[in-house]
Amino acid sequence: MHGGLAYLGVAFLAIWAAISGYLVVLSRRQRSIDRRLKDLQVQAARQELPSSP
Amino acid sequence: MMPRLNPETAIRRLTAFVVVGMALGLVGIFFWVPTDAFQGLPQRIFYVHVPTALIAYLAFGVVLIGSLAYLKTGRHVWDAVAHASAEVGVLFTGCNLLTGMLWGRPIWGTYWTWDARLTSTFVMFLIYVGYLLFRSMATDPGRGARVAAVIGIVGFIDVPLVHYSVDWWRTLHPIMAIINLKGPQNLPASMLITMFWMTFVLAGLYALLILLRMRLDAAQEALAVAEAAAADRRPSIAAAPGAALGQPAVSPVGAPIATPGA
Repeated sequence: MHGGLAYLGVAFLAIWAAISGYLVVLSRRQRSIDRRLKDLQVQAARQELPSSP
Repeated sequence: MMPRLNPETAIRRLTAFVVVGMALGLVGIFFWVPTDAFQGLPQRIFYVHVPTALIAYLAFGVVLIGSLAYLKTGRHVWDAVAHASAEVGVLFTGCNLLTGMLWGRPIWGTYWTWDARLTSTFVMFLIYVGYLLFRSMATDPGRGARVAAVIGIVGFIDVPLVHYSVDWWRTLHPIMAIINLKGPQNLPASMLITMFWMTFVLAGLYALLILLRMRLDAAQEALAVAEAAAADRRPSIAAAPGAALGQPAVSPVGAPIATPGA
């Protein structure tokens, strides 16, 4: 019975770990891209500022 | 006319649904359904094992539809849908294989056996892992997307093979007889309701992951456009007032750009 509980526990933990891990990877990639996009926008705004009348 | 749902709102609502639905599902699995008289506690793996398999079928079905639509229309959105669905499908297939192994060990006495159901599921997993690997290694994105679409279409052949393998071959894996259309049900109502509820919640999770993956894809595309625009602006940086005053020009990532004669 206790052995069965261990397999059940590991199965549920493994599933939530896999899904959480995927969510963490997606969110880290998204944050990194958002940061880089923001840097590029700031850079573009700085370059355009002196040439505006 | 129905108002269009903002993706961010859809993501927030789906997240709330999945969190609440999963909590209810876990209460059902651990406190409501009866313990199986023969298999004992490991039988409760059934409530995630079967739903992950059904969602993997759904995911690879969406890959098939997205790939066909992409080849027909050439619209990038279909390719993005297929790509996202393949990634999420691989995740669910991996979870299905893992839970199957952990259920098989106490019941069959082994984690793995090369019977038709297990082998065809593993082959399905490998086909879509190959699809994702091919995409990540393709140097020409347009050609890569077209070839990936062909893999997504041909790869789907394995999905009915997985589903009907238990009927077509003699396997250790039990025949999937969850609903009996001809008479009384094989399972008590609480088991059926919990299993279908978990399938519904995991379908919500699938939709949420697809939206998040497609948002990432859109951001990657926006970044590529912004980087190309920044690269176009670079030659004029040397002639910018800052450069004339001897201040170093700076790249979008903040690294100094070497200017001629500097």
